[in-house]
Amino acid sequence: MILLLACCSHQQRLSRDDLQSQLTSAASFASEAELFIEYVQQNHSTRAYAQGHTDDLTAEVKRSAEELRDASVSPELEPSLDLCRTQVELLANALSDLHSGFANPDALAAAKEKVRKIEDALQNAGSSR
Amino acid sequence: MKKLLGVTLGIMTALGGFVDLGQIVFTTQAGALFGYQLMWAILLGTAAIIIYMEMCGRIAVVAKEPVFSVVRTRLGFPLGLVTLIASNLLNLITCAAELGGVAIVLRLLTGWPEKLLLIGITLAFGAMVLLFRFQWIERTLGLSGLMMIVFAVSAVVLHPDWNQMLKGLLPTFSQPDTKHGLLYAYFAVGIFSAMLMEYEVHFYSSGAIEEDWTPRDLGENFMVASLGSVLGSLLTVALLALGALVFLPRAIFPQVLSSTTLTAAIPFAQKALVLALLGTLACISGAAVETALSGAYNVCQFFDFDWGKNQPARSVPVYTVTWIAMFVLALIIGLTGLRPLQLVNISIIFGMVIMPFTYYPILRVAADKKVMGKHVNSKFDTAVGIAFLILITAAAITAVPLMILTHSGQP
Repeated sequence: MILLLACCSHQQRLSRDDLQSQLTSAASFASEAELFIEYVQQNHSTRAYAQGHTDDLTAEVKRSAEELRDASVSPELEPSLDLCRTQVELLANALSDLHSGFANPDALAAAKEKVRKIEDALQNAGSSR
Repeated sequence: MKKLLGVTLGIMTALGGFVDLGQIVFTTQAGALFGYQLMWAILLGTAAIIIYMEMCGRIAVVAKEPVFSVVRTRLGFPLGLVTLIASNLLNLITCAAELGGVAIVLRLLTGWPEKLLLIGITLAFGAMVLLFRFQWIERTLGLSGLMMIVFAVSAVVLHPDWNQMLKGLLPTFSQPDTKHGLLYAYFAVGIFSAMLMEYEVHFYSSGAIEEDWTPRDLGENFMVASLGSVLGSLLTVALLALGALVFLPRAIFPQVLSSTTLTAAIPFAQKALVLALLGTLACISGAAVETALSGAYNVCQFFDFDWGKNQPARSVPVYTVTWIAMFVLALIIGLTGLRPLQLVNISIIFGMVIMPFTYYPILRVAADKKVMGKHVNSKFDTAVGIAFLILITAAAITAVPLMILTHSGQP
């Protein structure tokens, strides 16, 4: 029963609060990706951990992207939902691209910049609502 | 030396019990959301588990009754059976989550495929339980779990705000809005529940009988329960502090296990990351083995079958088949693709709901002079036990509504 209740708690129709929660979660993923890239830049990570953590973050972001793709909101919230969808897709792509760039300082710096922009966009959207 | 090694039962019980997958992620999330404001929940949980773990050990030694024998005699067969089914379902879900967690950590260490690791580690745990004596299982997993100390060292190195930590020992009633208030309550209940998970007392009381404790060991019982629990709670505090120090300032809400291990490694280099992964691996492995064995202990103690890890496997067939079945079913659940953190969230809240049915019979027996003789609870023990039982019941009633209202703790 609890499993059922937990599953039912994922709504397709998002309220204002639900959308805010999605924006917060997406901004959190972006911020975490940035922190992780900084850690890799310091050469403190092992290769297996870097790959594995990136995979885990990517899977979570993709799950979030899927939820947003299936979600609907009231008309006045559409622009925020669109922005959230776009930025989460961009974040998923940025994380996927990260795999090939762990040993490349330039690629890491570029990925960090990209992720920071995504985070800024999500935070602005979150605070303007 | 024997007494020193005896402490490993408490360490394994506590580390595998409340520094498990759920607690590691849950507490770090709580720190990331509320800073040190939930320190009081850790303090309360620690006091409660010490009181009840000590009672369980005392009952096991004096009355020679492990937890599920007590549950059957005090709750009666029908309600006892419901409690047994619920507890073993909880053990199974938790075991599946912990096995999944072990596979994740091994993937982060080796880069090998997770499902292959899940199968391999389940077989390895099965072989370990089959071949090792109880004491060696507890010593291996309990002592290797001490590598988690790297989390405490990292928390200290990152300079926590000690004043805020002290302030956190008192509950905060004012949150910015209703949503934060509900989340605060959800995480308080979750932390409290994770520290009191039923399988800890099942495992601890059975372990005391496995190790042939006698009334002369009662002093050691208190020391083992206290030392193990305090160590576990200090590590839990470290996880909360790391959430507050690393994630809160960056507005990060960690949602994967690999994020929490990163917190321990942030101030250091690669070796700390590996140590954090190995410590996490040991604790989660301890929890996986504890839950599988607890499932077998519960069934045998309830139906009065022979049991014991130190008995030849064939002389305790129900016990042997049950722990093997626990591992096999947990593996099947893991292979279905259900995420370990999803499972563990359910187990923490579900565990809270059935918790009063485990702790109430323990309190009743420990306070019964006819059974316990001169080792009966003091009035103080009983009063504190009742106070915690009221808290446990209140948390049990609110657990599911809070889970629904907060979407399982999503900020």
